Amino acid sequence: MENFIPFRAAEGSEDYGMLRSKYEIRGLPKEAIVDKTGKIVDKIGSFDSPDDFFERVKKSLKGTDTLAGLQEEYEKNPENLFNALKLAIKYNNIYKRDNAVELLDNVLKKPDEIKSIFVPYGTENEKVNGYEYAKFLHARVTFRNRGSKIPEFGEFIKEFPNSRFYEEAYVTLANFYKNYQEDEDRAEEFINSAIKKFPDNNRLPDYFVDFSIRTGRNLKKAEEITKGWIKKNPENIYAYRYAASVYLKMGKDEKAFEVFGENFCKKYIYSKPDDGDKASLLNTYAWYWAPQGKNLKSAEKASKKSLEIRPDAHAYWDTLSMIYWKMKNYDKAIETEEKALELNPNQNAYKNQIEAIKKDKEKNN
Amino acid sequence: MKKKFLSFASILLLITAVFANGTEWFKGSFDEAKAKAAKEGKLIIIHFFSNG
Repeated sequence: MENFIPFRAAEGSEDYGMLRSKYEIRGLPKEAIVDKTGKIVDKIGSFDSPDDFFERVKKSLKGTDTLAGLQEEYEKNPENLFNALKLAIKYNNIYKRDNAVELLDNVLKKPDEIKSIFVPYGTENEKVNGYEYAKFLHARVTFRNRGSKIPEFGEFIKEFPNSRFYEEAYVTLANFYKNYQEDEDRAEEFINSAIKKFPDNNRLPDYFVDFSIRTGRNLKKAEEITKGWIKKNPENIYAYRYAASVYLKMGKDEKAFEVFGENFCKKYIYSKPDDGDKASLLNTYAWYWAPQGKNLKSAEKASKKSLEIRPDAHAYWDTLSMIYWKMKNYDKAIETEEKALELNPNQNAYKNQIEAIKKDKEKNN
Repeated sequence: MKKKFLSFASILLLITAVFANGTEWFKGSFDEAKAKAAKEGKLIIIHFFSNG
């Protein structure tokens, strides 16, 4: 890191808004590498480990596959499909999806040419066919996990049944089907087929449970899955939360409170030391119950504790406001939401919530 | 915004781990950071994050 000046752009700080806009940063946390004039050299998206991060930083220093370098190469020779595809991959990695789609559309206009090209993928010596990768990437960047239109992955798995991306395409399609409302029978069939094909894929049970909670189908099996999660990882708050959602869908509110209520908090959250992680867990718990208007006393207690630890967290004030709103304590709801807004003045959602609470107060008084 | 999942906490811990070894964040404005980068022949790595 000695070749860099590390500059922190925290939300709310002086340069934050300008820098985030200038470098088109979406999603946090994120890193941008710029030169002394402020010109972008590279952007770093998500990464799996500090080693991956430093590898990416080292490559940026060498100018290898940086955003600026790839853009320059493409501008010099836009007909070079290899460069175009590498730049599209880069755009996808830094969430510039429109740019990625535009490049991929152009690349896929020449299928015979792109089929003869192989691009690096995975380890240093691995390559993948350009056409297959372009199709997969196009499906990925245009993917929306809800809606009525079946994503391109549906065509991809038919065209490339032996692709290294087959499982990812299939599982991503299952993610779409868990939200699919047009044909629940078809959605259920697809998710079950995915689980049968890929029994070791750990995302698929999540999608099964999500689908079950949304539709009310296969709730007994969903209950078994969540019990399995709890048994395997008894400190995982999300396992309990999922279980509560299944019970609420079953109409078993008392069981939901039992599995993810005050006793859960006492056992797994309140006993932890007062730090940021605990505050986050408390807020996650409180936020789960707040919009549902259930278990509010316990949610209020947890929310207040989260704010005791992290009084600077605007989102946690927002959670408490929702709880008061559901309790019909409108004045306190407005007061706490104003606190959230004070800490994050650019958050329109907070402004909108204050207006909505005021209207509700007027209606009920 | 509101939903601070453990996956976000994991990413935050990862960032903290990456920058944990005595990293001294630049104290000053971005313009001042650029001036320092010009003087020392370095790049700037901007770390964007949220407290909320």
